[in-house]
Amino acid sequence: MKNKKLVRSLVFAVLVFALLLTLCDLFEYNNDHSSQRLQTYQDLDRNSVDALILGTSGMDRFWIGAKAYEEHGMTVYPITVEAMPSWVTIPMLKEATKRQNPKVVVVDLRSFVGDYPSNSTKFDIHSRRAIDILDFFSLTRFEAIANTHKTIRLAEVEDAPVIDLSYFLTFIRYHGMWEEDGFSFDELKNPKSKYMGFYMHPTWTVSPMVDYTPTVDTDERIPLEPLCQYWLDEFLSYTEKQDYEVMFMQTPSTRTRNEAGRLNTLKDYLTEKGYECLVLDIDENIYDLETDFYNDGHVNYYGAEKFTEWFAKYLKENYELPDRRGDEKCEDWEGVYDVIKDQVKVYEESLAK
Amino acid sequence: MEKLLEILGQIRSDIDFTKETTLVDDGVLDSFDIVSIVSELTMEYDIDISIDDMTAENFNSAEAMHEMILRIQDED
Amino acid sequence: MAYTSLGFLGFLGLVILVYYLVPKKYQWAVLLTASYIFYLFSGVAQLAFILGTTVVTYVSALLMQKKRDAYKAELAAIGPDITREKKQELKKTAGNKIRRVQFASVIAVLLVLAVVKYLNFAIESTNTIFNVFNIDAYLSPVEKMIVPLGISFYSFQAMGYLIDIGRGRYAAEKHFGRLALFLSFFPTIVQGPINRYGDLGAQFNKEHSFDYDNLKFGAQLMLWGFFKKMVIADRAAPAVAAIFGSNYADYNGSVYFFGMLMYVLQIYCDFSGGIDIARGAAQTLGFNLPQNFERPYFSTSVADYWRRWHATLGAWMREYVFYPVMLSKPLTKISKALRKSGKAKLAKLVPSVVTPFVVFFLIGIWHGANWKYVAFGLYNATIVAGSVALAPVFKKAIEKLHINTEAFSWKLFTIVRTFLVLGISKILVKSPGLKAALHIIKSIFTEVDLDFVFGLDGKIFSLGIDEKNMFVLFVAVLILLGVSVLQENGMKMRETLSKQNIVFRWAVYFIALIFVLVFGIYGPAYDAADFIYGAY
Repeated sequence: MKNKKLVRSLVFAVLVFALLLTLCDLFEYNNDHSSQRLQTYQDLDRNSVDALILGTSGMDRFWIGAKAYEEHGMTVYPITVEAMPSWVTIPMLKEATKRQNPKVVVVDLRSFVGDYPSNSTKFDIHSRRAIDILDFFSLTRFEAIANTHKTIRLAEVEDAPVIDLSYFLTFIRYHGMWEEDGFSFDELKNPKSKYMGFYMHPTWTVSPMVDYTPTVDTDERIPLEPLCQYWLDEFLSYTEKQDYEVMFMQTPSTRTRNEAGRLNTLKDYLTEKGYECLVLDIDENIYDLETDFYNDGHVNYYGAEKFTEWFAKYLKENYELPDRRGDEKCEDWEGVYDVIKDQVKVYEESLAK
Repeated sequence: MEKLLEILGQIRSDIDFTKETTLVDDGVLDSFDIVSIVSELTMEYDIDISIDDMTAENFNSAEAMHEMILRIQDED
Repeated sequence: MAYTSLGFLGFLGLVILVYYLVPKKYQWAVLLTASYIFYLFSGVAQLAFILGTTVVTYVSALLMQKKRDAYKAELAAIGPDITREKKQELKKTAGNKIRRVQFASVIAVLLVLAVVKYLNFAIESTNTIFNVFNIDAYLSPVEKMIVPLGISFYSFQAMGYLIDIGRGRYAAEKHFGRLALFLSFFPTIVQGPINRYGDLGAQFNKEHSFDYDNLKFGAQLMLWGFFKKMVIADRAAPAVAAIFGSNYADYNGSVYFFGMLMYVLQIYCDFSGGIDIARGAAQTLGFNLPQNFERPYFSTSVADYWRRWHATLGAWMREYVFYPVMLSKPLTKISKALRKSGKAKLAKLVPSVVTPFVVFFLIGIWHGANWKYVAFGLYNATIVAGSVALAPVFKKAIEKLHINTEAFSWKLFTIVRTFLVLGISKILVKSPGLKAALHIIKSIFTEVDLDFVFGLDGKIFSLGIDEKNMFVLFVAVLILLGVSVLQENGMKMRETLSKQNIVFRWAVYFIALIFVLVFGIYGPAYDAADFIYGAY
């Protein structure tokens, strides 16, 4: 009798645990493009990616991987999160190199140029956009949480967020999602990216820029936020240890004085250490600021075409990426560029209306 | 005892005081009934019911109340 | 640490584990340690207050016990030949000695409570009086008064215990640890129930072996409490805050009526849900705490309501205020005098009418140091005393009108009537002030906004509860209502459930669990409001 009750209790406990996991799986932050992008990436064939782009929206708006594949046969995939903070760059890289062995990792300087999040909510959201797209039971996820915790501790700001249980049991944070407008479980089933990581938006992708602040040019060397410097050094020592080929890049955008000054600092620092570091300005010979950008930090599709055109050539010349067209492993890339172009037409038509 | 049952019957005619033994414990009598009972008993028997006597056991049944009355009369 | 926090669940789990693993004779020590750790979460300075009260209570009770023992020893020494006069004399002197200690110790406990909770109220009231009489004086209120966690609850338990010992109801606790545990027991410290030593103390002296049913039933009761608190109360809360928190003239009577319904729902589910969690937690440790709520909104009269709502406070008031006042010399004298002059009916009526005013005045200020709570108490007292005084008139009217009081329709009428009377009393409490309360009550009876009532303007969803949440709230209230009706008809939910077959049973558990997990309001996005009764 006693044993029966014990077995029953154990079964019950296991079921409750399974329920919690199911709920965590159902109500998670994954109807977001970053999550879809990662999901698609994780399903690619092993060792089929030649180069990896790691960073923020300053990458996924710019790089049309499918175009580079179509035209050069290279497989270059962006793993990006909106405003990916410096403290999750290592776990993100670890996640991205689990099944792939890219020849080069292109790192977005925007992750290191920014300010420390101005309040705890912002900090929390920045961190969780990255943490919560990582697999529930992965070490990279725990590392991302640990790094976030470390950052909070090192930052010593008054309004610091607290790492609570909701970072681990995401359900605590997201169970209220059903309240949102247009909520449906279909959307939660974690669909894949249809555009091989290229960011598509019904209006932004095809809109011109309405208003912008012109770049402030400066020769100043403005120091990074201490924490960005800290995580940059951590990142460098990790990639050195792993013997990864790394290059840094800032995609074209207008800049504030602070950003420009920090980019100067970064360029000096990284070049001295022997890294390739491209800080790209808006080259008037290539881009038209008003029609190729949808805001001062991001290109639209037309700008992305121009950027990809240029950067694909750059990669080909500098890193000898193979031509993979026709390779069985790379079937996923086939025809995606056409899908993108068709979708752009749809957006253009609806915008014209 | 007869006299007591008569007094109780006047206060709550809906209760059979000869049978009930958990008048207070089961909430058959509320505090206002107790007030009325105490006030009646004080008058009819000319006794002083003190706060120490206000226990559930003393009011749970007619029998218990009767015993309480006798005890108080005896002590006086 | 809030009872609805994951921290509390973890804490309880740990306590349960340690509690059942240690040798049984140390179980009390585990609970005492746990209770003081729990208490420490609210602050170190607060600990001094509860410790002080505990020491005073412990020492005074032992002192009273000593005097009682001495009296008994003296009686025994004299033997059975004692004269009645001698016996009475001894009893009187012993009684006086005990009463002195009893009085002093109760006052000491009460004084701390009064200073902490009511000093500023008294100061402000005095200032108002100065003002009224044009006296040029001002007393400044004490800033940053520490209000220790659960001070009302443990002080009331301490006073009850001291009075009981003085009355000789049971022997004083010799074990300091057990008494300290009685006053600090962590499931009861935040919001009761208010325990009597005769019930709870005996359970501390018992050894508790692990019991599967206790753990199961306890967890079920806690889940039910979480449902009431997190799914219903916290969901209704924004509407209450929106309607009663703002400028009261902004809304019409129908909105206020809706607000009243939401508040009545919120406060019941918040408080009784918290009590369910407390009782459930205690049950997992093998303790049986008294019921504090018995479906109060099914009451057929206000007096009935006060037996069902916060019943342990009602019982405390009956035991230590109602009966003593009723049996007090002035009242009995008045009664006797009236009877002698032939006014028997009036003689009976006086205590029944005067006593409620004393009791409800205290219940009023128990809820808060503010004149609106006094008004709340007096309102209740008037209705209770009035219904006692007018009982014969009502009886005649019912007979004349040939109303069948056994019929369901009559019962329903009395329930609805009582509910409305109570709803109004709650507006007195919830409104920003007395003046606002009167305005709101008036508008409920004078303004009807049909657009709002029929939901034509959609305004109902703009008051802090949107359509989806309103739907969830509606379903949850239906569940609550269904369960309450079954309970009211004598069904013991947990026992009945445990007799069903396992598939049905587990289905119920999991649906309940999912409901609370998905629709409960908790987590970082919503900072679950502290229990409304937490500060009392």
